This record gives sequence, C-alpha cells and structure tokens, in this order.
Amino acid sequence: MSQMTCSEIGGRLDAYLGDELEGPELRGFIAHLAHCPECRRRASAMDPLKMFVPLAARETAGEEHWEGFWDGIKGKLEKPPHRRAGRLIPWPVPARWVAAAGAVAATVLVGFFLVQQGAGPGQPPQDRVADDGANGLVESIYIDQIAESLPARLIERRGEVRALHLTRVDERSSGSINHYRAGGEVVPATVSDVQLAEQMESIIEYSLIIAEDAGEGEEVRVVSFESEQFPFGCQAVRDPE
Amino acid sequence: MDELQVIRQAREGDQEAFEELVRLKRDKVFWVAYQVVGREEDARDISQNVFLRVWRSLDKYDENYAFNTWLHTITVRLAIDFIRRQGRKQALTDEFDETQPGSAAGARSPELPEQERQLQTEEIQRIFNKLARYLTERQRSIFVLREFQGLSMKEIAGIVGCRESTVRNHMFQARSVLRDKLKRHFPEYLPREEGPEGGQGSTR
Repeated sequence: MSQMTCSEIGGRLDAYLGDELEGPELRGFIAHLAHCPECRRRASAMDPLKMFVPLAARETAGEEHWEGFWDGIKGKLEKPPHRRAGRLIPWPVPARWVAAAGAVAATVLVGFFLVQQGAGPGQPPQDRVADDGANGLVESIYIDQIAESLPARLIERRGEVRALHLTRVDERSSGSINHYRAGGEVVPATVSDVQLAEQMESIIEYSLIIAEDAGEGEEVRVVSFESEQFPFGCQAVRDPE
Repeated sequence: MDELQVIRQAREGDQEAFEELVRLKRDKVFWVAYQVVGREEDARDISQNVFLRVWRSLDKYDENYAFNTWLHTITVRLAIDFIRRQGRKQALTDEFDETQPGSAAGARSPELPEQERQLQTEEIQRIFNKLARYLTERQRSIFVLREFQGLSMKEIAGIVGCRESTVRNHMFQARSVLRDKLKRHFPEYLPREEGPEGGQGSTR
C-alpha cells in the first residue's frame, strides 16, 4: 500500500467521511490519519468519531508484553490436533441401543423429508436471520462445508434442506444463530466454523438443526443420532415465515 | 521468507514457521480482540485461542482469500463468543481496563514526542473503551473492522455472518450511539460548534 500524502487525503476527505472508500484506498486513508495529527484534526472537525483513528495503528510496546504468549500456545500445540467431541449422552449406552436409536432416527428423519417432498412445492425460502437470543456461541455453517462431517443419509437429503444450523453447546452455555440461504443462493462465508468448532476443547455436544421452509413456523421433529465424528442432535423445524 | 511461505511451512506442521507466523500476526490479532472485548487479559487469552485454531485449521485455509481476513474472522468470532459467554453486561460495563495494554505505563516523559503520542493514544483508547460499552458486541466488532481495519462491507459481512445491508445498518447504529455518547460524556472532544451550550466541562 503506497503512502498517501496530505494533499491526497484532502482531496478525498469527503469521500472518506461519506464512507465511500473501500480496499487499499480506505486502508491507506486510515493509516495516514492514524499518524498525521493535522489531517486527523481536519477529519475530526467534520466527524468527531475520527478522533478514534489512532487506535487503528496501536502497537504493543516491546517484547515484554508477549512474554509467555508463545509458550501458552506451544504447550497446547503438542496435544493431538483432532479430538473427538464428548458424548451427547453423558452416561454409557450399550452400542446396540445407539445403533437402534440411530436407525429409528434415520427412519424418522428420512420419513420427514419424504413427507415434505410429497407435500408439494412450498413458498420460496425466506432470506432471514433468526436469533434465539441465547448467550452461547453459535457456529453458523453451510451445507457444503460440513458435508464431510455428515452421515451419508443426511448428505443424500441435503439438496432439499433450506438451511443448516450448527449449535455449539459447551459446558457453560448454548444458543444458536441461524444462517439461511435463499433461493439456492448461499451467503458467502470465509471460513468453515465446523473446522473451527471442532477444535474447541470445551465443546461437549453438537446439535445439528435442519430447517425446512415448509410453511407455518413450528417444530416438527427432533431426532438424535451419532455421526462418526460428532454426536449430533438433529432437529427438523419448519421455517416460521 | 515471505508471509505466504511462512503460512505454507506452518501448514506442513513446521512449528518454527508457525511461531514466526504468530510473531508476525500477534499484534494485529491482539488489538482487534482488545478493541472488541476491551480488556487486556481477555484479549490475550482470545489471541492465544485464535492462534490455536489457526494451527489446527491451516490445512483448510484457502490461499485465494486474504489471510488477514481469515484471521479477522476467527478473532472476531472468538471475541464475540467470549462476550456472549461472559455476559455482555459484565464484559462491557465497568470492567474495562483503565490501564493500557502493552504500553509503558508510568514512564511518562512529556519531552519525548513518541511518548507524548502514546499518551494521547492511551487517552483516546480510554474514551473509546468507555463509549463502546454502549454498543452490542456485533456493532462493536463491525465498527472496529470498518474504522480501524478498513475492511469492506462485504468482507465484514462474511466475518460476522450477516448480509451487507445488515452490516451497514449496524454500522449506522454504532456511529450514531458513539456520537451521542461522545457528545454527552466527552463534549470537550467535539468540534467547538458541536459542543453543548456553555458546556465547558466534562460530565464523565
């Protein structure tokens, strides 16, 4: 990024204050204002919030600030990078029960989807974001990004799924924020939260919620099963729209 | 060795390369986390967790995308996660650091220009911390990413997980709240004509 001059800043100040700049020009502007009191004074005279721009260029003073920082990371790097998340049910369950529950769950789930298919085409999915207001972290994900984590029977059905919500539940909190896609257009994501979420050591449970845009808002079915990688609680809901 | 080379080597499991990557990016990660959560210790913990996630997810990083954006995504989401788990009221009220992270607190020599600048920045940080408590964690994150990191609305939308129009709305709200609170609590920092009538003193 080339350094901007005070003259260049003056010429584009209105555009900056109007929030019209993007990309390298915006970052060049911020970098200049952070270090140029005179240009900052001119900008702050028109928008007092520009007084905060120096915070964009904060740097820690000296190596002492980072003492122990790398050691704290390195100590954890030595742990196996991939760990299996905790069980959905916190007590031992005979394997055949799990298998039976999985089979029932799969049957119910597939049956649900088949019913939805048979119900004829619904309204186009609404592009909206629902937030349940819970205080936990929520991992928003997209179908394609978690395909490899899903059991095959779900992958087969994913073409009909309007949205997927992965709710992370840890020892202290739970909650969800829903990410929707509309008309097949997926909001772009820059990172797969599943890839991130699976590394969280506090996670004891995953819930996968599958939403169908099929009419009145009501919870239709809750099923649970265990995938090879995560314990999933799988919930099919109707879009309240 | 350039940044991409460092990333590639770290991806291959080279811990020395990853240590170099941490050294290169720790300031950026720490300050973004700090501006969102407002407390040094928390920002430091979040930063360490960010790098742990980076280490474990590096093989998923797509070089077609800016590494810094990927890093911002992890940082902001962990910071928001932290605030939500702590409870926003607790995290963003009276517990903001009054001391400034990584600064040479106490070593005040006004005759040195750099230290003068540092002191000025610390005062600005203190004011921002006090005012930002009135923002939601998402508003605060968006404000930081836009005003301090200079990211595009599209990039921010990808990071915080909402549409561009929603980002613009949050940004508008954040600026509105900050202007209002600045006027109320720190009128001396407003341009002269915007100050309250006869308002000479601060109400902070």
